[in-house]
Amino acid sequence: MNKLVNILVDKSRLSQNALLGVSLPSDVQSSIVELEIDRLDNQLNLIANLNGLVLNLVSPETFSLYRGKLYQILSSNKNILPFDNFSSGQDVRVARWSFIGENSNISSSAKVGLSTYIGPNVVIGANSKVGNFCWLGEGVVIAPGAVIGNNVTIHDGVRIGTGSQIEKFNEIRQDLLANTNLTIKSIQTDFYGSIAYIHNV
Amino acid sequence: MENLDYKRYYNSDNFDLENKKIFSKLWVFACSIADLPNYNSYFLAKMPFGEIIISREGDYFSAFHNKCLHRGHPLVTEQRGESNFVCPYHNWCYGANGGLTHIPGDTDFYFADKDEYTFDRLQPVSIKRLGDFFFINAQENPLAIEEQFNSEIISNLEKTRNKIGAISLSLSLPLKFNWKLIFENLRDPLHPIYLHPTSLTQEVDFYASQTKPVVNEDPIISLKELSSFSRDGDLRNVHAPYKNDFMLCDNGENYLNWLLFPFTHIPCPDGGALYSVENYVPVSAGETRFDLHLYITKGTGKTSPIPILYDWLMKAKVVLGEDFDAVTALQKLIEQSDQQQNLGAYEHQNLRINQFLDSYLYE
Repeated sequence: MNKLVNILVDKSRLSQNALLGVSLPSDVQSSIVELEIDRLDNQLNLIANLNGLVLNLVSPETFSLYRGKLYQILSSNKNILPFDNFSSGQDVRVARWSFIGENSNISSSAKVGLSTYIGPNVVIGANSKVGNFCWLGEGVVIAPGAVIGNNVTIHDGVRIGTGSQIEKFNEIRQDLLANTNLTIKSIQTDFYGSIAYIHNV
Repeated sequence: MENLDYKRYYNSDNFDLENKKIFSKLWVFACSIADLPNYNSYFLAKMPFGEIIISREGDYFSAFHNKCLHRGHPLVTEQRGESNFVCPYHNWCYGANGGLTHIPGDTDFYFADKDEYTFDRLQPVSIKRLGDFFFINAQENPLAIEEQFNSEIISNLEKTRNKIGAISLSLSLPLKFNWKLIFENLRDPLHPIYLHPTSLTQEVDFYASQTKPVVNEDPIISLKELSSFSRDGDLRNVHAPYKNDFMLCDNGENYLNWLLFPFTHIPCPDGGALYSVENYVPVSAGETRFDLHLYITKGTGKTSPIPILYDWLMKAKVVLGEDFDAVTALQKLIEQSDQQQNLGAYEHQNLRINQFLDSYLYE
């Protein structure tokens, strides 16, 4: 029997409540593993030793800090298998390893990619598309028809206008007007006020 | 305890001497192969001795000053681009190897015939490839790089050949301290347990190396002694999955800081997933520009590079922030004081280098 390993890197109400709405295949034995991940990676090694399915990689505060390590381990461990795709609502598609926050609303025909975290109170409009490995903070609004590329981070409360296209690896901190086409491949960090640029993506 | 004067950290005369006799004469790190991804790419490196274009033409690499032969206008302002250079001032054109290819209106306005030009090439800068890294030297006839770096450093740098992938991250940050202060901090094996108790000390066991220091009081007689690895502690975790040749220095078990004089620091790579290269480029006596390059290695395979970059960046931010705060505070008080500083036995390498600077530069 497969074992579902749900990785929580925090114990917030957000994460635990969101899990309640997830329906599991009947042959999966659920096992919630709460982990406090620290810099020594001991707990990450523990994950690598578990045989089972991985549903969520969630850490609202420090997600970016540790997901690199998590991915490294997950991608090198063949015993950890992805959770089956699941859907909610009409024609909505949410890919494996993704996480939908509390009170979030995904409208018809919208798609959410692999390993994407969607925070609470997020609205994803009809026919919009959110890529793989994205991070959408609390209260984000994706208007209908918008396309968000892979590995995009959208901060809390940001609204993305209708028909906007955001290329991969962008980090969005402010509202975007309708039909905005964002192709700059730069990631704004708060590295003491400087901007980090990622090249040749 | 030994005394050193504070003047060396803020006096502009000292800085001018350093620029003239060190930065302009030694090999310095400029970029890597990831910064020149295409057969016609260039990279603009800002150095104390000027802006230098590193240009790629197929598998041939050259370096020259970013300065038009006509009036000295910069040819490029972007850090990266295609190596086909047209000066925006009067459209003089240069090829990827820095050769002058065309002057618009040469016979009509300049009364110059192409065959009679007394110049045909942008002012060259020496370039040397070690592994996937490029070093430049402002001198046209520079010293051999083997005179500056010992064989261990060169062989370890050579191990990076064909290891670096295409994706990289870069950022620049202005800092308000003298370039020497940050390197003395990096050579100080005692400070991490006090300054980085919750960050770097969690990853490196600095206590493991807290034995009585072996003091070398001999004066520095070779440039090779200025660059070194500092083996300051044991890595608490050796990252086996991505371990590669580069990590096999000391079997990959030590925390190995690469301290390449004058201003390049390569901290121990994170499991071989990336190379982090820090250039502390001197700007003035009291200012330094921090240029950070993170190069993803090919060893990461299909793992998404962005999380790896983020991971390192966020960790580096904590440690570097602690260092920058401390060194900025040092600089601030140093500039207000004529006192001497007192260095102990464990700081013998910092003492030796300062004594070398005293005898070679300042006196």
